[in-house]
Amino acid sequence: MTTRPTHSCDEVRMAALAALDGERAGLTSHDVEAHLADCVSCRTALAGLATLHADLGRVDYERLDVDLWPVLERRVAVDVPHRAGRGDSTRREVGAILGLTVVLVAWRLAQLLLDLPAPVVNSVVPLALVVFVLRWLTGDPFAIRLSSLELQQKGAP
Amino acid sequence: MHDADAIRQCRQGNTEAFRHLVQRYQRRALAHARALTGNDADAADAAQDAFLDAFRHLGRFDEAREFYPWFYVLLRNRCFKQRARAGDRAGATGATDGLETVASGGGSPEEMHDLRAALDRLTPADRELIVLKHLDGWTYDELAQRLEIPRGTVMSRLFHARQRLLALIAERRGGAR
Repeated sequence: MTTRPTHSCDEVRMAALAALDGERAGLTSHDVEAHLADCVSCRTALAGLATLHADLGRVDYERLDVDLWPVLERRVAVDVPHRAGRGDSTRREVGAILGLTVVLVAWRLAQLLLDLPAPVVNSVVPLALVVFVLRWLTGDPFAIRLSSLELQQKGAP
Repeated sequence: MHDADAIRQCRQGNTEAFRHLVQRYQRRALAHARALTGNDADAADAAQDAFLDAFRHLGRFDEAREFYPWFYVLLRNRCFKQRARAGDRAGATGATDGLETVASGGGSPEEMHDLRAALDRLTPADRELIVLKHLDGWTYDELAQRLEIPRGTVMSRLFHARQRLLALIAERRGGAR
C-alpha cells in the first residue's frame, strides 16, 4: 500500500501558480494534480488565480510618455559636472565636513580669545560657511522639478 | 551607443551620454515608478530624482553589471520616499489616479477596471512584485537576486499578493452589487 504525501492547499496553490509563471516549485505536477482531484476548493481558487494571471499579462503598464530629459538636463548641468563619476566623492564629502568643523571651531575659539565685538558677523559668517558647504555637497536645493502641474501642461494622461 | 560607453563618458562629465541612458530607460523607469508610487506626478518626480542619483553615483557603478538593475535600486528607494511624502496627501483625499489610466487588455472593460482599482489598493510591496513579474517578466531567481530576498519568499509573496488582489477584486464586485 502506498501513502500519498499530504500537502496543504496553500502549498498546492503556490506550486500551481509558480507553474503558471513558468517556474519550478517544490511539488511535482503529479502531486498538484493528485491534490486537485480531491479538492474542489483548490480547483475553484486556481481557476480564479489563472484568470487573474492572464489578465495581469494583458495590462499595459507603459503609457506615461513623458520626456524627463529637459528638466533633468538643467538639474544635471547645475549639479553634476564636477561630481559625475567621482569615485572619491565620499572622501571629498568627509573632508569638506571635517574642514568646515575645523573652521567653525577655529572661528569660535577666535571669538572667545579675541572677544570679537560684532555679533552680526559672528552669526553670519559661520552660517554662510555652512550654507556654502552644504550647497557644494548636495547641489542646488532649489532646482525646479517636473511637478504635477507641468505634467498636466504636457498633457500626460 | 552602448550603456558601458555612455557610462564611461558620463564619468568624464559628458551629459549628452547621460541623455542616452535617460532616454533609453525612462519609459521603463516611469512604469515602475508609477506602480510603486501610485500616480503619475510622484512617479515622474521619483524617476527624475533616481536618474540624478544615478548620475551622481556612476563613479561607484560596476561596469561588469547591467545598468538598469543597478538603477532600479535607486529608483525603488526614491519611489518609497516619494510615496511616504505623498502618503498624507493621498490619505486625506482618498484620490488615486495610479493605474486608472494604465490598463487595457482582453478582459471586459468592467473587469479590467476592477483589476486596475484593486491593483491600486495593494501595498506598494505587493504591487512592485506583481509589476516586476508581469511587466518585466523577471523570473523568481531574478526577483530574488534584485530584491535581495530568498527565492521561496518571492514565490510565497507573489502568491499571497495575487490572492490579496483577487480578494480585493471580489470585494469590489461584491460591493458593486
